[in-house]
Amino acid sequence: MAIKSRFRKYGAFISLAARQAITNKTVLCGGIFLLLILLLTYNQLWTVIGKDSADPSINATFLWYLLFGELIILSAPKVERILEQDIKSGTLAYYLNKPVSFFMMRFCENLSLMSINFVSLGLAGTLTAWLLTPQTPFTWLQFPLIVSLVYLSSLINLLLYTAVGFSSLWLEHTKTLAMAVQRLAFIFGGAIFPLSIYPEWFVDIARWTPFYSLYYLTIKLSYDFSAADVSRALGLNCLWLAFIIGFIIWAYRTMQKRVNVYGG
Amino acid sequence: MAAENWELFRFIQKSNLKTAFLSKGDAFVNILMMLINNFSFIFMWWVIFNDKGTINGWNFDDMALMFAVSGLSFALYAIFFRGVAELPQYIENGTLDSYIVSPRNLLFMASTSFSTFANWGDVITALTMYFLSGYVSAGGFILFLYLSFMAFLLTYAMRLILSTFAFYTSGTESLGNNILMTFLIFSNQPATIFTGIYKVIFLTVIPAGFVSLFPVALLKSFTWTEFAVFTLGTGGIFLLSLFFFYRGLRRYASGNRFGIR
Repeated sequence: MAIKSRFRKYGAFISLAARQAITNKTVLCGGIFLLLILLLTYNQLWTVIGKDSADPSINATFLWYLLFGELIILSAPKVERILEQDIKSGTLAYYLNKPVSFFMMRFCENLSLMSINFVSLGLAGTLTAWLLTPQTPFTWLQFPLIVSLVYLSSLINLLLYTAVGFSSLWLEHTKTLAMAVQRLAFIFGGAIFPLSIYPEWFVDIARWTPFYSLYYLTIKLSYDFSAADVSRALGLNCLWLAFIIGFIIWAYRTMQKRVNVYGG
Repeated sequence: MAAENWELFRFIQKSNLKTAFLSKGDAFVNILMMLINNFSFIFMWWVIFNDKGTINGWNFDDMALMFAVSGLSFALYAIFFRGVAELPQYIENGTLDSYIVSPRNLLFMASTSFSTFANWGDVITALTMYFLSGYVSAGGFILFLYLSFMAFLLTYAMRLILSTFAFYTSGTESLGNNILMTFLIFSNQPATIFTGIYKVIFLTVIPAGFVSLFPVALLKSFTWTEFAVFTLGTGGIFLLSLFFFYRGLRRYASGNRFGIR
């Protein structure tokens, strides 16, 4: 009964945030517009490179790859900014004595936003990529599994930015840290250009970062699908998920103690 | 009047710097993060050019020039006049009232109301990329500064036009941010990939070509015709943005917010 009412409580946060996200159409349309611009721009880039290197299939391969990478990046709400505001303004002190976990409340809200973004961007992006390059580098039977793994990566990405948000306990501004994390995802995760074109020494470094499995191993499945790669991506992502959750729990406990000391 | 505004501008910038250096460690971490952010993006393109050689005639030196101009222009906007991006918020919640009653120029006051210190990292990146580009000369450096300044005017004008949407409808802040992001995405790609209809959009609807295509062409081989097109184009869009703003301002209805600045 207690577990059921707890789920209902957080379910309400999810449903409320989803309704707000759907109502705020300009934000949704803005995100879709940005994704379409990225797809069109990189479609041009890969078309030109494909012509130069006499490999026309390169465009289809890397456009779908880019779509899955951008789905992870663009579907993430700015959770770090919300958490920074909560911590800096002391708002979180008001929530600590409420019968809800502050972390779970913010997580459920942002998970809901992320899922709405993921679905809307996914639909618009798939349609656009399919219109630009109808010959997909994967079979449509593999598509649901790829999308599920990309969704899992988006979820871990959300938790990663939650960890960035909690770092405002030590940093004055987390915005530039969040930007740097995003850029590191671009290069270590190969979110725009796949790691296969990077030098070997660089890929060796990238393997030690969460971005490698979160982005590259997952989105590479769009053009290089195998059961072994699926289990490798899943295994590594679960490992990083456990690590990030561990950090968040530690940071959350530290935060609660600090609020107790300063009284909010 | 101009001298007074200049004095005020210097005072605001001094205050911004003092605020940023209240926590020295944090200020340097912010710049460091921006440098990581910029150089990782540049590294990504270096890898591509290392692999492909050229992209439709552009090589990495051209990209370096483009990063230099776009980096410095964006830094000028973000460090000194980022308040223009806050205008939709000021319009919607009535904060603009306190700027209207100020004896100073309204747009100047609102534009200088917000600054991001971390973008000093962009200045360092831009200068580094210019000196690494292989097109360095004394005259070229002055031209680079001029082109970056004009590209900054264009970036500012784009953001101002997008901010004026808020005079006509609500909830435009995020849409404006996304369109500006589109402008930045376009201006950070090899300009030669845009052909056909894309090139038309690249030079008109989202005029990112004035940040990448023209400056790189002028720094590589200067022609008075291109210089004139660039100057008139960026200057024209800047004047157009001022026209849009003051036209939109006529529609502004006070939020009756009381405040002193």
